[in-house]
Amino acid sequence: MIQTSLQSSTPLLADPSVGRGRRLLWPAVSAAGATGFVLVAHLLDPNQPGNYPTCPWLLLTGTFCPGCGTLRATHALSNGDVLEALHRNPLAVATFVVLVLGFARWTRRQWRGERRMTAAPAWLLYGLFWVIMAFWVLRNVPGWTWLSPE
Amino acid sequence: MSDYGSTPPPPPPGGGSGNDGGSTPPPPPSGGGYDGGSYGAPPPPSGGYGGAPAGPPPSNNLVLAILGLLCCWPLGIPAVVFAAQVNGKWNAGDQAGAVEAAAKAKKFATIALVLGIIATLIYVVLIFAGVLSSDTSTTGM
Repeated sequence: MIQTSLQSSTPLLADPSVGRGRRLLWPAVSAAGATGFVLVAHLLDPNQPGNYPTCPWLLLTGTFCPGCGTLRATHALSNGDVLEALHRNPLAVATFVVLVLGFARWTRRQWRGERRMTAAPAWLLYGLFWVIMAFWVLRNVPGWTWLSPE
Repeated sequence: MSDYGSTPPPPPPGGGSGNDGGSTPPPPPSGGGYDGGSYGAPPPPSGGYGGAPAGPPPSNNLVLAILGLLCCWPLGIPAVVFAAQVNGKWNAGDQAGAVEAAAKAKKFATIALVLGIIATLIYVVLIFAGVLSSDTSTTGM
């Protein structure tokens, strides 16, 4: 209500009574969670059988879902092996890049106390949806293992 | 602005007919006169149609929806579609529709996530109970 009445080209400040430390809480939690994920994937090698349970989807259907190979791709990235990571799950690698960039923008906004004033164009989101679905299908095409995690 | 908007009268091409009607009278009065009190331009961007409303857009819950897609695709697919609708409606000026789509995306994604978490818990319990073997050759994720 208040925001819509104010018209300004600069991003509006969030509630000024919320301090910077409080604003940065969720970015910090997210960063800690991501760091924990990478640490586990690095220390507990997903390439060795028995370290992790098989994905329920793979066990039940015998097909790869779009997330298949994410742990192994993360493990490879933590060792600096980008090619191996792309081989395991290229979509996961691309997602990591987007997530890191988005995290940077989000954290900067929270640091400055700004609100997000723009919405990404809808075609981008629909495109993302179709990329995921196409990836899902293509990596299960028999005889074509280019996108498969193995 | 109005002065520069009208093209200056071009010099006579041949130079033969200096002051005949070939050089049309320059149109500055018509163009410049209107521009001075221009009311036409500003309204469309700030108006209802086509422009995003002022103020911060609602969270479209896209990340939640994609996680839901991986947990339970029959519910995750509508969640992602609704999340995409949020931005489409917002950018088209449909504020209420965007908020509604965001709520639907969140609802579908949450149900998908809860189902996925329950299924994973059951799965882990089965592994620890020894019903399923955990050391298959492929680790999936």
